[in-house]
Amino acid sequence: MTRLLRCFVFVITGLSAGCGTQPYPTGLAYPPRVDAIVVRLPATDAEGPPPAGKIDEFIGNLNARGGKVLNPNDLPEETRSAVNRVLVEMFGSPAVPLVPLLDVQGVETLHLEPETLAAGSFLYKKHCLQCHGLTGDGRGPTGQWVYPSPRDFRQGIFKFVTSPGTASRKPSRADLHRSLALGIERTSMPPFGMLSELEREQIISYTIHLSLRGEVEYRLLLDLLNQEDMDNVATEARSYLRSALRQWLAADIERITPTTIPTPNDLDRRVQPDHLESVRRGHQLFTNPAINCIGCHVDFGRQARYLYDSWGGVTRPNDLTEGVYRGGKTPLDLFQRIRGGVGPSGMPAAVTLSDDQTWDLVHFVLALPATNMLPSDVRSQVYPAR
Amino acid sequence: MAGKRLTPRWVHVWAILTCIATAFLLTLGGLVTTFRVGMADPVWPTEPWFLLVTSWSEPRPGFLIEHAHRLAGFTVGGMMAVLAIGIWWTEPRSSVRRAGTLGLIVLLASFGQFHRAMMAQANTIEIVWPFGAIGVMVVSLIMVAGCAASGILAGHRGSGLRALGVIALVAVMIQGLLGGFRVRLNAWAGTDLAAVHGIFAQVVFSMLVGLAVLTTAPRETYKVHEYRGRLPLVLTALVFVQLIWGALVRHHPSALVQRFHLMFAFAVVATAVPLIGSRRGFGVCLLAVFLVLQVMLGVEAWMGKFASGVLPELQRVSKGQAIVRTGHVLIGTGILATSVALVLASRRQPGSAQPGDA
Repeated sequence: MTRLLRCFVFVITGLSAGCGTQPYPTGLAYPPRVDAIVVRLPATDAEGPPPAGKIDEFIGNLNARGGKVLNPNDLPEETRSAVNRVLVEMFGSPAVPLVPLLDVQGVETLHLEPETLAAGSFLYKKHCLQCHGLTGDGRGPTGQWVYPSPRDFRQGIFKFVTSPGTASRKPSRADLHRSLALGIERTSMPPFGMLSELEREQIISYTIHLSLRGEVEYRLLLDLLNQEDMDNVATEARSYLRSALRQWLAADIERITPTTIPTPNDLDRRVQPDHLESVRRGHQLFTNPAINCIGCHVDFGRQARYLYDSWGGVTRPNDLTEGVYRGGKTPLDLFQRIRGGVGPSGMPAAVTLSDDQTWDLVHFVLALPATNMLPSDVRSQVYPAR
Repeated sequence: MAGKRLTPRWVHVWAILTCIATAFLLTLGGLVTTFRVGMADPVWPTEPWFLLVTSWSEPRPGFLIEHAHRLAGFTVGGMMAVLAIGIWWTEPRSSVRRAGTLGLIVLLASFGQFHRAMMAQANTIEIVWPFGAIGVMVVSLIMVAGCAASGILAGHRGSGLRALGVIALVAVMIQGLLGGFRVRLNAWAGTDLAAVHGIFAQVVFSMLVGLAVLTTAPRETYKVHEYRGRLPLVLTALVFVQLIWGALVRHHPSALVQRFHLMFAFAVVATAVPLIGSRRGFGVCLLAVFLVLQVMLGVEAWMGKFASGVLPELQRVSKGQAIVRTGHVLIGTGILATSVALVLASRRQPGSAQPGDA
């Protein structure tokens, strides 16, 4: 019996010592980018999503489809080494991640201190690495087997952003926090609401670190591949970093906010005449050729249309009859999505619409999956067979 | 020469079919870990028929592998429920038989209710535990356990087998929950629960193999000098610990765990070789074949994982590597199952012995 107990203690000791996530090895470096850089997307629609595990081949072949991609491997070895040296000096390694703050005013609100980044790096390795990859390229071991592909942070662009601005604007920390805490419905991005607030913030800081590093590398490589003059790689890198830091800061300052927000009581009145009238107006806007939501969401999204996204992959405009909204399902989420667009997917920002018109669209989109929430004339157009 | 069976023949056939289905389930589980697609669908629970109603138009192999694993899990759960009830129905005391059967049915129904309650909150962060269903599960389990224990205490023939049937059913239910909560509690536990799920799978499969062995007709006599001995038992213990290290190598390949896995591989071979050399029979031959295959697959898997110079967590798994790694897991399970079968065969009483030979 004593012998058995000793064996048990031995096994348990071994188990507890061996279990758990280990931090990155200190000697591990971020690998240089080798996958193709998209300069121009094909003008035509894609035939379908890339085959599983073939995303790099798919992007590499965009030239043959009328797009333009550049290959970082075409650069001379000494140029690549120079870029890599600068990146290591500026951003450290996975075990010791850094971001030089470059005296950008207010940058401390991005929480990019070395200790926060180190904690975030450990958590990222535990929870995110397998999909998003070591450099945040969305090409982790799991990434190739799931669709939609995990987000590639390296161009500094994101889909679900509530800050106003161009299609390539940065998300706020709150935007990243929302995706992290709640996950992204009907994708492989799980919710991390069970992590503590501090842990989520640490992961967000590390994600920003990866995005900054990736964006600086992306811009340097793009310049070098386009054979633009570059006197000093380090100076250029700092310039790109300064610009990106300012964009991240700006994203935290302003959000797309409607002047009026429907209260829950308004939403409870979804079958009242005034609400039904709003849905009817929303339907008219949706099908209006000048606004042309229906041009991408063909047959309200039921017909698959595959479009190239900014990363060179493929996106499918949402089937709005299913009631699944990846960027959030509240009326305000949808308002911000319509008003701000989903830049990397090619969904334009509806900046010409008034607040009331945008709410009409929101009401229509929210009513779409539930046939009894649609006015009868609209229902007969959306669901002619019923 | 065969003695009187403890159960009807169909129960034995069903036990074998359940083992085969479980081996398929383990293969899919191995693929899930190999391709690291345990979180391909972060929603749990889903309906058993989910794969039939979801879109197959987009390239989501990870999603399909993971959901095929869930579907196989549902199938094995259903087969195990039939097996447990079939074994229990051999209870000779009619009142205990009825009470135990009722307990098993209530246990299964309340487990289904638990599943439904979890499904209703599949998209929420916080979990509201369905204490009503849990309470009914516990009460019905106590009732069945009491019935099983009374048979063992009274020394009734086959009481041990019936108890093992109940334990295996509960183990399958626990295994299903471990798999589900590995998804549901991912943010909290990471892949730790996945490792526990992988290890417990070996325990469950061993129990099912045990049921398949014990539902065979016992032989009239045994050559005691051939089958007695501690070697099969020691081998089983070593193989089980080795499988723990193996699961940890797959989920948390720390330097310490890697060393333990290598050392125990030597220990298992060193224990198995004398056993194989000293005995004859189908089980021992199967063990020898499994062992040779396992060493070869283990070397290949090890080279692929640790000799490539890439951190294991960063490696993209090729189809060839997936076959080798999953095969290594499956053969490991086969070795454990064979060891368990040898232990049971060596410990089993002759069929003529009466009563309480289970």
